[in-house]
Amino acid sequence: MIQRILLYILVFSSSCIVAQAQVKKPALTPIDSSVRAADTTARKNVAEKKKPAPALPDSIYEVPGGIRVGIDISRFILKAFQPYRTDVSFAGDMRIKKDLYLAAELGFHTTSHSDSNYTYKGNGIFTTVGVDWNFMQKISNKERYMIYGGIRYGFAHLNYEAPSYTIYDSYWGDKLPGSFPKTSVNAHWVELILGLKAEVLKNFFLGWSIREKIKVSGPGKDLAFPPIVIPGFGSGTKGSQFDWQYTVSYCIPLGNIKVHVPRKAEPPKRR
Amino acid sequence: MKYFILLFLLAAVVVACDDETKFCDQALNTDLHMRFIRDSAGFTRDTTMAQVTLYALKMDSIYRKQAVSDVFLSLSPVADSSRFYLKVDSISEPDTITFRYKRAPHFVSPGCGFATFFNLDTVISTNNTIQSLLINQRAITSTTNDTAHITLYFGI
Repeated sequence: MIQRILLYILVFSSSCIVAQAQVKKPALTPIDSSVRAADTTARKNVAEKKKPAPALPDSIYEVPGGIRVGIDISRFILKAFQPYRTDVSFAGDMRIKKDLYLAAELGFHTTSHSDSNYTYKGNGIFTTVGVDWNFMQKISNKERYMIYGGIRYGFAHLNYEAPSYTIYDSYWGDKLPGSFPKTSVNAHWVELILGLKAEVLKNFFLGWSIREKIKVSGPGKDLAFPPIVIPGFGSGTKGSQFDWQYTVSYCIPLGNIKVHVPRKAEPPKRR
Repeated sequence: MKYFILLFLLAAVVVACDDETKFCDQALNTDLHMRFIRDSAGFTRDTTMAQVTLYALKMDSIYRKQAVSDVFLSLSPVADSSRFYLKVDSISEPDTITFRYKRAPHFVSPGCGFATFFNLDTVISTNNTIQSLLINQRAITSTTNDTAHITLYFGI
């Protein structure tokens, strides 16, 4: 009796193990290769999933356009180094061709300085207009990163004065007080720019640039009293000025720009 | 390459952020420079005078019995003329030299402020020891001027 019970248990347990194995690994069941070859529905599905062959690249494609406006935050950092200066500068650009951007800046400036020799006050506005050329080779047409070179024409109008000054003379022992009245002048310059812009979030850009500014006309050292700072240009006593810019900007998407690529004639096939 | 760009940017920031009002790197005194020439029988040469005494009338001495070949003097910034006493050695007669000029304030630099620039109109001297004088340069705008504004000729 006991032997029979043990036999039943053994048979039951082994049948359970086999059944369990069949449930766990149904995919491992071997399929006959002839059956697989005969499965035309599977082949049909694969054929349906295949995308149609890509068409030949068209001679016209589109790149994202828009107007990018931003603020130059380097002017606020500059305030820490040159506390007598307060500058606010806005920068903007607009794509007009695949790699060509129309660019402009607009800003205002005030100067206030006082020491034992003189006091100085000045204010003015400036604007620059020019173009940027993007050198960066892109993988996708939708990319908006830029490594660019640019050129600008700059113009500034400013008023400045020295409400009081004192000239000390050690030999004669004289203190000669005086003042320079308010003077209005214009300045013109050209900027050469090298920089980059990166899209850090959708439509949000960070960018920096270095620039050499060359004064074409305006107040300079030849004047008895040149301005300390020319808005947008920099030092009023220098003929050229090295500068930098760091912009945070947002691109307002305004459609796409069509780029026309002339189709090249195919070379004749050799037989 | 990345560090090179960072260093370059840092250098650019330092150059562009230079505070021009902080330091005065130029001399504010605009002194008149006079050179001594000895003229003997038409042959002229630079000469060192043995005991030069020079001062503006009613003022302290600028040079007191010093052996020099040229002198620097400060014109009055509050008057349009200045008169100086000059004696070049112990035995010669002293001379007085009168400078008439125009003066104008000039902004030297943001760090230095203003200085007075002068433009000489006329220079008149007595001829006790001084034989003649020549104005080489009328504009007095810098102390570090190698060219003498005035050359004094002596016959002794």
